[in-house]
Amino acid sequence: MQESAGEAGQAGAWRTIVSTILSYHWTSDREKLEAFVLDRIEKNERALLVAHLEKCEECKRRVQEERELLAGIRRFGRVEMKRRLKLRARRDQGRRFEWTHAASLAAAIVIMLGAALAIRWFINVEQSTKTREIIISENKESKPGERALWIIGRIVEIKEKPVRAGASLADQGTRLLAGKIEKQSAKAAGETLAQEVTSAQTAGPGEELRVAAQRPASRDTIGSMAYEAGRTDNLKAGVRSQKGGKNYPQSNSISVLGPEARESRRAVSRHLGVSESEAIDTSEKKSLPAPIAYDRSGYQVADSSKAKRNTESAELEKSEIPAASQEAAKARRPLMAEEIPTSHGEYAARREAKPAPRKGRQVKNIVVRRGNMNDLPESMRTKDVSAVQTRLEKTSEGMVLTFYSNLIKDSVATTVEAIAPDSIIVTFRNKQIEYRIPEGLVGKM
Amino acid sequence: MRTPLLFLNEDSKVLDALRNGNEDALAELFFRNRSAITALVARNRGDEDDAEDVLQEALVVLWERVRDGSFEYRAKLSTFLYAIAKNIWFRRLARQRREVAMPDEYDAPDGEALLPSEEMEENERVLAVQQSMERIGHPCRELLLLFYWEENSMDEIAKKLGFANAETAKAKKYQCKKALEKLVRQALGEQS
Repeated sequence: MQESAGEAGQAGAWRTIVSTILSYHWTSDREKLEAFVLDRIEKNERALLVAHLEKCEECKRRVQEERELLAGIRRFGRVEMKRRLKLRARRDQGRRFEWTHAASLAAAIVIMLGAALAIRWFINVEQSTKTREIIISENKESKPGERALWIIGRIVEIKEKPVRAGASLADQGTRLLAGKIEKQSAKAAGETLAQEVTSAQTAGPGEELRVAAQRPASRDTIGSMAYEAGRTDNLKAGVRSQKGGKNYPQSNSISVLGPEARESRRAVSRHLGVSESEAIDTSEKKSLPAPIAYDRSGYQVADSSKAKRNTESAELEKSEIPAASQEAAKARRPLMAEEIPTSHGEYAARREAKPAPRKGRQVKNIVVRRGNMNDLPESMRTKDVSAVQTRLEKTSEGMVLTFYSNLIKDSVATTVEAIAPDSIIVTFRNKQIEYRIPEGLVGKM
Repeated sequence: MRTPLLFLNEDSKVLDALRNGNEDALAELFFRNRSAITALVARNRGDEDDAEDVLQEALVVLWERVRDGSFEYRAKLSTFLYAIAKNIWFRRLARQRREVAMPDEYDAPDGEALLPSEEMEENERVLAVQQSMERIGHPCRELLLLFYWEENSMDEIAKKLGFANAETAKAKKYQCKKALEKLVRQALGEQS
């Protein structure tokens, strides 16, 4: 009983304490109120304070007022900070803009400087040219008031223009393969071939015609022309196995044997781009005399005298054609290397391959003259015979190019061509002189 | 508060600066995040001025969180600012057009909880306190801001404002608060 009375007393005391705490208007304590609002009170104590608030409307009002005060001060703080930040951003933005502006300005200055330097460079180039002209104009060769420029050209040997080689080849080839083709067609065929052929070589009856083409594809074209011709029924053909082009990897020397011009005409007309009707039926000439070969080696312009012989000796006895070739023709297969009738003739001696002459824009307003070597000052003569001292003058007559060379006998150039902004080529009958002259001058020619 | 372990991280440097009360860091964050926030606001019926205002407000929220120690580095600062700015802007849109449905992009993100209570912000007494803060003179304004907004200790306030000690600062704060309450009552037309 005593224990239960004691427990009841203890419980009552706790109730009194709690009741006292709950009834305590803690909001009267400004520091406690402040700490409560700022959340600086421990959890347990906070729970008690909250419990009191539930019963005390006045305390609740005070807490609310304190919270509003805090919210107002913080709101002011935020607005103030935003204002400062805005001002700061505007100020810094201005600075950043200035930096950007400065960078743009610097870039513009660099560009302007670059442009100025470039202009200066061009002016210098122009001035240097003028300087050279002034110095050179002191040369005795120059007449007073005329501006002269001494330049050195290089002689380039040429044998024949490709168009001429192609035309000759076409002339020879069409007669050998297809009989006579009208002159106009032959010319067209020649021009077609001229685009493909860099060199050609013909021989007499029983000999091979050799062709060097610019590209493997060209060799294929020419090779296929001969091969197609060889496939015809009455034409005995053989493809000589050697290193060759793309489609004829083993066959850049192609021999075509055959007596039947009529059949080969079809193939030739197809491959030369002329219609069959343009090819004259040469049925009266039943056979062709020559085995014809195309390969990439050798360089010789078609020999007209030999070509003439080819035409004149058009008859080739069948018995002269080796049996292997005849069998190959019957089997419609190309001749193998060992079957090629090498006894049909000697190959013409190979000559050193020469570069194809270069082509460019025709320069018309220039006069080319051959100067007397005796007039060339001793100091300007060189031991290099391929070097051609040349004087380029701007006269009242226009541009005059006077060259001094013992190697060139021609007095008149056939063509003057601009092949690059700073290069011209003067072509004579069998030689060319290549010049590098100050850039910009070519455009004035 | 967890401090980022990436000490070389740019965000870490910025946060350190903010903790030290360096407002330059806020300006830097403003320029770094302006284009992203401008794009966000522009996509949602706002203009460049709105975007700048929203970003400045988001930066202030960041400042408050860092200063009161409640900021937790869970994502890049740019991500945090984007989330806050998004909420601020959509809350404004909602306020402007109560009857209009919120844009699809609005998804009540986490940043919502970090923003000041809208109800409290619109409270008349709160606005009166804000106005009164403009009227109250130096050093009360600074002292109250340092204590209630930046939650500096009395020692810190005493040092910053040049009081003899924390007790002096505390006494001054009491006076200032009384003065502010008086101004608020005047603003609200209440009798003192």
